[in-house]
Amino acid sequence: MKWVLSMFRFQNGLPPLRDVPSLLAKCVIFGAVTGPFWAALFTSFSSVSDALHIFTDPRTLVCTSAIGVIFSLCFFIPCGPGNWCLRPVLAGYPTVIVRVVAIVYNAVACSLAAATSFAIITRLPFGIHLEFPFFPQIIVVDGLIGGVLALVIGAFMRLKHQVEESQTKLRLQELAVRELAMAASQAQARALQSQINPHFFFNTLNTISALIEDDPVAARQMIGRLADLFRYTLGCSHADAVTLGEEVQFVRDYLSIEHARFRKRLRVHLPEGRLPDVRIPGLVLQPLVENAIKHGIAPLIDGGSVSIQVAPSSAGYRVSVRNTADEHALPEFAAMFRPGHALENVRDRLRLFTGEAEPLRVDRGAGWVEFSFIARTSEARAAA
Amino acid sequence: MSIRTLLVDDEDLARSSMRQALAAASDIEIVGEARNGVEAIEMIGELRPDLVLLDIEMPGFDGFEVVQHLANPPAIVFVTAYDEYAVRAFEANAIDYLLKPVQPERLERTLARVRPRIGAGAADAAERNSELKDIRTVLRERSGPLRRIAARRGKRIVIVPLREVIRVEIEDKLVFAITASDRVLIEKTIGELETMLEPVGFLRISRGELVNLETVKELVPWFSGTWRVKLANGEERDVSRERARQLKEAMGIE
Repeated sequence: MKWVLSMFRFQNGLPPLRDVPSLLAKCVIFGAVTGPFWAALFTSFSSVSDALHIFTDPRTLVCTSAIGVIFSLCFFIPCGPGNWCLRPVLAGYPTVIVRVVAIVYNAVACSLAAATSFAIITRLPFGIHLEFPFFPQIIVVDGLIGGVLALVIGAFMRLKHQVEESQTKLRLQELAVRELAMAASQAQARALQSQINPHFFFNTLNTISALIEDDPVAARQMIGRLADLFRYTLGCSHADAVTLGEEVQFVRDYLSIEHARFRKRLRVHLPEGRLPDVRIPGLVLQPLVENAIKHGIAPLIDGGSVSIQVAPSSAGYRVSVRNTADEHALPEFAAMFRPGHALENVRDRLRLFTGEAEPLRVDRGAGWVEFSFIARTSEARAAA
Repeated sequence: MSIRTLLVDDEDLARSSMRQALAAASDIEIVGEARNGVEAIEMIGELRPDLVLLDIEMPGFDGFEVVQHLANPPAIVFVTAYDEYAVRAFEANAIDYLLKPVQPERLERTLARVRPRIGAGAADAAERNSELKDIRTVLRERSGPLRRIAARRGKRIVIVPLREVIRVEIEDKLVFAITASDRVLIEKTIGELETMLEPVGFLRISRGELVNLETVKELVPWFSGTWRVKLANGEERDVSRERARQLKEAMGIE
């Protein structure tokens, strides 16, 4: 049915040339199939048994089929291409004019087609002789049918067109919304992307400046490390996640620079050996270490220690950063996550990455504080 | 005449960098180097320098807290690597500051501004004090309320968290802070302390005494309009009649 209906699908002007054979084929098949039914319909007015005879006698069946094909072609040739040609010509005019022209044209075309087909058929020696006593009336009725068909099909097409248009619009809107949402989450991730803390950057410049005269080799080494840190930070802004090993190496570089500033006031314990192959968002561990130094160790006259530990847990590995701190000076849990502060940034990015509501755990005790989060293995993440 | 200068910075490298930069200024004589806020307060008291180059972010006390604890401060130039808020405040209040790494021409410009003020006498000291008031305002806005105070135990400076201070008293014109386990000397007048501590929950209950309102356990009517407070450590102190009203207000009684 859909295949047959596709004959009428020419809303965008002329069909491409390569579609013409298939349209003709459809037209022929349509005629061949419906021909016997039309013949039966007309015959049944006078005799029902004659009408049934059409389907039982092969010869009559073939004949009526052939007549159907001729009828179909006779209607198709004036109505089909004519409508295709009319469509682009009428495109700019108001709907009323298009309707009127289409109805008149199709009425005339149908009458003509009826006249031609009857003329041809009645003269064809198929062995069935059809009598048409009301020939002029039949032509008029056909013309009317053509006009009504044009009206109905025109209205149907228009409705269909409107529905399709609104569907397309809806799809485009949906697409736009999805794209917007995606852009928003990307922008969010980018905005959240932790960067090298300006305090750290300027302090390092100052350290290098001091080293240049006394220890040029160390100064050059430190510039190299700073360059590594920047490269890593920039790299992280392109990647969704990094391996734990990469992040720990980054922390190691970062700490070696901090060590030049703090000297023996800063004591560091990093995990040794091969780290498990888990992925975490880039730049979540380093801000925790930086926070530990800035708020935990730096205010202490004798300094303190910071240690990173990776321990197996049910969902993967618990990565923790523990540092010496004056527990009396520690703010409340909620006050630690101030807008724009590194900790809040880390928590938000872990949230985006893990989907957990509270991905960052804070534990504290006498003289220490610990931040930790779960780095899930890829299997655990897939399961979640 | 040389300018006796104290360098204050917690980082060895930062101090050596500053030393290098100052070598070009022939009239600067570095008399000492302090590595944290506590040492800074001690050394400023002992050495009486003309000029202090004071780092802001330091262990113990930060640069602003150090200034708060100076009764008669020398000329101060703040030094910071990066502190947007402080720099804005310095600019707004015409307070001298230097950015690390120190650039020679900027250092020279700052020294040129500082030189005329050194040893200029009492009129200038008053001006400097008003300048320091600005710094204190900056401090309060920047780091929130005061949380700890410098005190002296023998020759050493100690840091006392204000939360632990029960009361402050005068004895022989010296001011002492009393905690549950300790009694330490504070090198400030009771008036100075009153302005410093009032915003953080202390109240003057008599001419010679401040109490930490957090430690007040009981308030008992006493004779002829005076009141008596019972403190957390079991002590009982008298509240003068004119202070009683303020105390009750502060405790939310009236």
